[in-house]
Amino acid sequence: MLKYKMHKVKAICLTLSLPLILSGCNHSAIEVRDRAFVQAIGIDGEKNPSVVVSIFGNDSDEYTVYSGEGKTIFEAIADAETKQDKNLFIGHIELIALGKRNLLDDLEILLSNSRISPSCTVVYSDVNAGEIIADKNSWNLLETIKIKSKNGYISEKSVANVLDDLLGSDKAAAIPIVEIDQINMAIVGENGLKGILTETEAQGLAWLSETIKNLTLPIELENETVNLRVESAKSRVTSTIDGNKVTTTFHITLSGDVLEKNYTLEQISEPAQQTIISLCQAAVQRTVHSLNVDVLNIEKSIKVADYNYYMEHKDNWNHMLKNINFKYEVDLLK
Amino acid sequence: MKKIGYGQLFAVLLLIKIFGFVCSKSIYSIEQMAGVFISTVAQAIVVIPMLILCNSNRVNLKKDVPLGKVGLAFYVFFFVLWGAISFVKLWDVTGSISLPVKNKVFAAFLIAIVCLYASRLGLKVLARSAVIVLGLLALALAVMFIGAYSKIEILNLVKNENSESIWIYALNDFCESGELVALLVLLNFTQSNHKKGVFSYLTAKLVIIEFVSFIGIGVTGHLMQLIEFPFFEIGAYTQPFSTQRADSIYTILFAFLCVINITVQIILASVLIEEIFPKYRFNEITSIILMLIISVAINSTGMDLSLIWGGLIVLLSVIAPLIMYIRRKINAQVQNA
Repeated sequence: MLKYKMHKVKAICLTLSLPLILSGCNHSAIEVRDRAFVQAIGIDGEKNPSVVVSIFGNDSDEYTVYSGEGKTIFEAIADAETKQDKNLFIGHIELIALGKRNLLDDLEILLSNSRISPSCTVVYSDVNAGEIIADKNSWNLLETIKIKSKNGYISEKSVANVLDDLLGSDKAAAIPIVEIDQINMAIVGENGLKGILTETEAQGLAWLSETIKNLTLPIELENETVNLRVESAKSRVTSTIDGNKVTTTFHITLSGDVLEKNYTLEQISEPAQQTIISLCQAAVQRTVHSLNVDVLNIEKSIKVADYNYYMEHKDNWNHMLKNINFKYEVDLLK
Repeated sequence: MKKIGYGQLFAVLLLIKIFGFVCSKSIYSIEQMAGVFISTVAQAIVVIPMLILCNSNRVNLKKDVPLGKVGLAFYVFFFVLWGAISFVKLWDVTGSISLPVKNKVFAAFLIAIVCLYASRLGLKVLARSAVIVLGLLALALAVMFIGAYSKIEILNLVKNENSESIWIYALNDFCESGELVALLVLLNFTQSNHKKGVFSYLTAKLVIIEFVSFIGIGVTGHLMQLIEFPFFEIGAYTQPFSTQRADSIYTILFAFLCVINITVQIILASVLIEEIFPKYRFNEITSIILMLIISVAINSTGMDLSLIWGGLIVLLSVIAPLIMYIRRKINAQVQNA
């Protein structure tokens, strides 16, 4: 009887304590309808940041934007929050546009404590990032970036990708740049924009960055141009060290088919390889030789090849980068 | 106390180890993976005397433990301290990963009530719960793998310039393996197949830690140097769905691991208190209150107990069982003579 009474007492205590830990009974919980989910954010201001946030609407054509200023990014977001009647939630941000600011510091702060997703897309603006978010439908902008990346015109970059590049020895990263009417690829460093790639160089970068999902590649033959429909493409980079000579090889493997029925894959294989190699050479020439940056994981491949060699020469990284020999191997699978 | 099976022993040991791993701030690196491997091999050797002691004849905690009741008090102190450190880890993690915990002490109090209740139900019930939580752990690891699969870059699997030496990681891992001390008591309440349970635990622990470390290094690359709690950050980096974040799985897992970890400490401490003071009836409540008091003291003073902690683990899981083993051998020889 006593045991039964004790069980009852325990059950009552447990039942009474449950409401204390159930979040639904927490008076400070915020209902979903009282939250405004930020879809995109633009950050400008070299000293004091100003932000423009774009809120998810009911469909892709509906969006509202609010702006804010502050001494820090989060104070600016809080300022933007006061312009409307809901709590801003940044955990589902899909697009970040960064202006002329220290990208490394900004991305580190945004990523701290997992406030935003590391796979959030990042773009750069050399003019005004907030205007991009305010003027353009950020949903459409994001979709455009994804499609252009899939088709090899640019390389879509996430917060994690850009931060990983910026933490390398040369503190530079490749990032899509949104200009007034177009989206290109840019190389940014600690001190801002280093250069904008041409269409050819950006395509070469896309091949080397493994962002291509499917595209139609025109192949110049002797008498005509045929189309190679690329269905998938993979790339990897390896380095070998022989004495003081570093050779970095880019390996690209792709599968696809010829759109023109009167040609076979074997017939266009060599011209296709040449076309892809020339695109890659343009990207390497511009990034490595002209801008002297590594956005192609060359540094990592050298570390893997010979860690001790890398550690001996890492203080002279810029010089090492300029003297690397590059090779290209393109395999076209059936 | 009812005995548990070797599968349940495996589950309990693994979950308390994974709690420590999840709460660790140590960065993942190739050197860390090698260090964990060396530490696991060392632990496999260290557990041999305990297994021999429990296989031939159960350990009589009152008689076999060196220094008798004083020795048992050391073990009680260890488990109470472990529980206190677990509360400190809870506060550390919840503060960093932005869990909605407004009042730390109240949160700890709620967890303490749950753990107290669970400890009153006994080791058998806890062990059954541990097997269920093991399923959640497997699910969390599967989600992590599915999300990480396409994001792993083999080029990231290279030596880390900011890493310590392999031996430091090996020593750190060994000195954080409090479950070796718990093993000595738990083996007494395990029915049979001790070796199976223990070596399965060591193998599974090694596989899981190396697996998560491999994913972490492969996915994060240079970003590992920015990360505070690698396990949770890797969860954020390896989202399997584009439309929904899967962080909640790791948060729920963390809560379950925390409860099981602290409950095990309460049970082990109360079992040993009973050996010292058989007539004392408030073992569990005393243990949890002491844990909370010590945790508040550690948290407010910012004490670094790593040296004391490591020393206690070596003393109670290596030296004490070795002494017990040698004493039993000598006694056996004397009796034969």
